[in-house]
Amino acid sequence: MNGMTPLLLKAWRESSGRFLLGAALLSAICVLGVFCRGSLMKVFVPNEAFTGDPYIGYIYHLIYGGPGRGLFIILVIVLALGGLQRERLHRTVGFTLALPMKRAWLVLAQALLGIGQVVVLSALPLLLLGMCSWLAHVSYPLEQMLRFGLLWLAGGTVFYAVAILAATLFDSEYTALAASFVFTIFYPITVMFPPLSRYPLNVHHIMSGLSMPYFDANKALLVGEPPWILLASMIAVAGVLIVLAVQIVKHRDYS
Amino acid sequence: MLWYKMWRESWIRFAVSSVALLWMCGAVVLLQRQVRAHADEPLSYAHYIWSAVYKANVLDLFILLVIVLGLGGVLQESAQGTAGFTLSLPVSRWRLIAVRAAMGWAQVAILALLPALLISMLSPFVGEVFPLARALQFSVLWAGCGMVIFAMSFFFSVVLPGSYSPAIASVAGLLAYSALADLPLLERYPPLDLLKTMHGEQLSNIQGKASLASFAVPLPWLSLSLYALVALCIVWAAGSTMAHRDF
Repeated sequence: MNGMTPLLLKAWRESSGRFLLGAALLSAICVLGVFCRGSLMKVFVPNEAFTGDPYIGYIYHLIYGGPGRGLFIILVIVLALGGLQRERLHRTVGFTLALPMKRAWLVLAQALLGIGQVVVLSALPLLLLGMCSWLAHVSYPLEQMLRFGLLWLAGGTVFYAVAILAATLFDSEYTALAASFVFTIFYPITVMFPPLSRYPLNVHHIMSGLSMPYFDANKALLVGEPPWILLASMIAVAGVLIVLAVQIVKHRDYS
Repeated sequence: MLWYKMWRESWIRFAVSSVALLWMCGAVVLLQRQVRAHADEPLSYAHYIWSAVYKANVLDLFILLVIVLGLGGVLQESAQGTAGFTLSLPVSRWRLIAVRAAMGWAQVAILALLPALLISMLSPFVGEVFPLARALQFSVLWAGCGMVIFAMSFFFSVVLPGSYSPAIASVAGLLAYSALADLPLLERYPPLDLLKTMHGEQLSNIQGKASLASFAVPLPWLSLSLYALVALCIVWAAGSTMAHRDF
């Protein structure tokens, strides 16, 4: 057993409750969304210009472009919180820092596990919608679910990295949560204005496809090639933020 | 002293929330010309403010920040090893709950007031007017409905262990409530729709200037009273749970 495995186990023990609760909620939205579609399709209605399959439009408005995506982002942010600042409040930071591991490894283990959890959450709609749709004798294209899952993974990783940085910067765990929420809402507004508005910088839009050239809003379908460069850039930004968090932890006094 | 303790525990969150709300409302007002120029159809200033602040992004932020303000309490203190100190104070558990809830509601009310004050004061600098009375009406809606959201987060903080599980449960609860309120069965009772009440669409449609004399008339007092009652019941349930809990 190398040094990383116990750190991953520690990170899992710290976040498993949040992760399982979040996964259960996201699963509930997906499962209830399919089986209670009779009532919910009257609520999550595509706009008048919509010409595609009503079920596809409904699933998009409920999950990929609606409350499901909002919940996913909040879950990802909550998963990233914790770490050494929180341990300092709980007076266990001395124990953790006394472990024969570098501080960088502590943060990297937390980030690695967290990104793994983001992968699972991104894939949940794919698994559950696919299975439930089949059971309910309706269909949502597998290829669309895969592509949306990819967009959620990249966007979720960015929000995860922002929250991990906030958890590193702020002493209070609730302040980090508030700061991450503020970023989630404030940042997309900022990029609406020139000169930023010329570039596809709104992670919310990238995740839902809204106003993006790779999304056909009239059919609620992703079209053409996935935006590989955009996805790679988002992962790179998340990487930079995590490295920044590592650097802060390395030089911080937790006494 | 108890009030001071509750203030010390929540003031950073409150300060961050206040700055964030002011910052966002300021951005909405100062950048109004650019946004309205890019709108699909002509948008009056009052309608723009309603769309950007009271219906959409700033409201979402307000709701999330109210949830964060409701977090904390003795259950979370037990993880930090300070619950013993708090519980050994010469005050009843009911009083602890009541003071924390009152402090939280006061903070929610102040947060609800901030957009009204800033937007009304800042609008003349961009050559526009947004009546203070109209803005205060929206603040009343936010404060009234915010009480319920705070109470929900507060309740989950009392019953759920862990720092973040109450936040997840509150967000999920709100999403579920929002979906339920939109179902045909409940859609017939608009006073039950918390989020629509917060939007205050009926206020955005009122033409002409609002005055302090006509301030109270358009507000949905039945809904607001109902929400205040529900919030009190939720906090009472939280107090009852805490009073009988073994820490």
